[in-house]
Amino acid sequence: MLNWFKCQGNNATLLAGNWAKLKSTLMEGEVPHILKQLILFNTSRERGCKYCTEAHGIFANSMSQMIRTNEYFKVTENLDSPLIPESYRSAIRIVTKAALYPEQITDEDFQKLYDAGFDEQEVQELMAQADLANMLNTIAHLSGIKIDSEFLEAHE
Amino acid sequence: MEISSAKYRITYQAFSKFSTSISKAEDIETLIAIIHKKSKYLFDYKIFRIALNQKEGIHVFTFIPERAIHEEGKDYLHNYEHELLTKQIPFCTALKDSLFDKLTNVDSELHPLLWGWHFQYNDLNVCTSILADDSKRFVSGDIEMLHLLVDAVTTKFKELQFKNELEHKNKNLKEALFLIEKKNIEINRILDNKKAIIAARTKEIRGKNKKLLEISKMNAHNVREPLSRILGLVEIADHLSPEELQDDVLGFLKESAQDLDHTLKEIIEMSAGEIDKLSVE
Amino acid sequence: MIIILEKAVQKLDIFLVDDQKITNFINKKLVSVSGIGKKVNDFINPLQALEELETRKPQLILLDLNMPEINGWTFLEKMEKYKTDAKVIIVTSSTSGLDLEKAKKYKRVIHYLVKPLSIHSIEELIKAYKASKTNKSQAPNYRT
Repeated sequence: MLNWFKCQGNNATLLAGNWAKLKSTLMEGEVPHILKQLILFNTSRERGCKYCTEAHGIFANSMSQMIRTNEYFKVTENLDSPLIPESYRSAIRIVTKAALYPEQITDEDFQKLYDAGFDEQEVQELMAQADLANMLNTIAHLSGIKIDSEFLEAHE
Repeated sequence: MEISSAKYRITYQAFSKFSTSISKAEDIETLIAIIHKKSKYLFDYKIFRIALNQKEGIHVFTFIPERAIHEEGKDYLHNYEHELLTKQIPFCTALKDSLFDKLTNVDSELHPLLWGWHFQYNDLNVCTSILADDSKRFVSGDIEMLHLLVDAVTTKFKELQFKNELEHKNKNLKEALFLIEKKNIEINRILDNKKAIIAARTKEIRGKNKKLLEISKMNAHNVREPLSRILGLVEIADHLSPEELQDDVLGFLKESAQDLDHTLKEIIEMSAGEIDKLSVE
Repeated sequence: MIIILEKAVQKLDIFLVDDQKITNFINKKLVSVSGIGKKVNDFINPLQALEELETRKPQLILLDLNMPEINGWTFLEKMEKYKTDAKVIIVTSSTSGLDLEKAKKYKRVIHYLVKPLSIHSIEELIKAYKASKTNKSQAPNYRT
């Protein structure tokens, strides 16, 4: 069991609440899962939350390993390439900003998301990743959890 | 090289989800909505068109970020699509004319490009086209994803067509069955009617027969009456005196003979009457 | 034709009941030729025959079935209201088996003859009358 869960283990109520938030925001909905993981990865990396960056990076990478090749490609290192579809780029950029600097979000940012093809429902789902990211990063920071050994092994 | 592989990994993820959503679609409108929503996770475009051409008709889907458009019929095909369907040669050219001005802003500074392909699926041929530019870039690496998408969409489309056809045929069959049942009921009703008529006629004929037989019996009876008197008179003739013969018997014979004649006349008249009635019927 | 007669038969009073006068004429002649019957009365109206039953006291009645005023069956039924021992022989032009069967039900009816009568019929008639006088307990046994 990951450290992120273990550190909440002594309070079942809080754990239940946080798990519900995690599940409904991350695991359900119309936006592709990989995009959400990429958002969480990017946010965590910019914030400097080592634990989350590692975890989400590996989640994103390990999912991309479902395509059977032998090479280990780090999707997360190529986020700014214009070859990546605009949907991903704009979502990752703007939602990361929303997580880290919510007061700086303007109508223009929302418009950019609409221009990228997202509808209102999808935008709402994307923005929910922002506050999820904040929750995940904060818990990680506050509880001072160390990176799980499973994650460290994944690097080798 | 790395980047396009990385991109393929991301988009392939999105494609699995897309594929699953499509398989659950129950009608064409839902299918179009799914393509509209999910295609942005697969590749970039300003305009994306799919034209499905079968002998029953042509369906054209047009996708822009704001909405999806569904049109039916040859008239909605652009010239380049007609060419694609006949010559089946894919192309990629700079967009020169104002073909798409109604749908989107085309800025020549951004180097708009029009791409077109043709795919054949048994009796269905599909041409698909993309309008892209520097802001929404479509690259050759995206072609494979586009092909996957068109494959999935075409399969689902055929399935939906088939389902529609089946429902239509079923409905027709049900209607035909209903009609047949109605006709059956009608036929039975007519048959029952005919049976009733036949029964009535038979009864009528039996009645007439009985009547005729009774008349016949009565006639025989009536004829016998005066005849037996004549026979009786003949029987006693040997035992009578000439005077009695002259005075009584001759008169009685005459009377009886006349009665007989009268009865027979009546019979003839009645029979003649019945025969005339028969020939009228 | 020589018929051996008993004296009783010669002295019979007979009624002839038939709505046809010619038939009565014929039957009367036949009866007289046969030498039976002391007094023969013929009636074309059966009701009148009934009225004279008690005054004339016939022993034998020759009765037609189809008569306008009342038919032979009704006559037979009405006869029971009168004091009479008269026997009845039905003389009819009907060859119907039904009528024959019905006749068997009446005790007074000792025979059933079909018109026209002949001398032979009179012989049968006499036989029947004699039989009825001797075998009173037996049911009438006649053939057509």
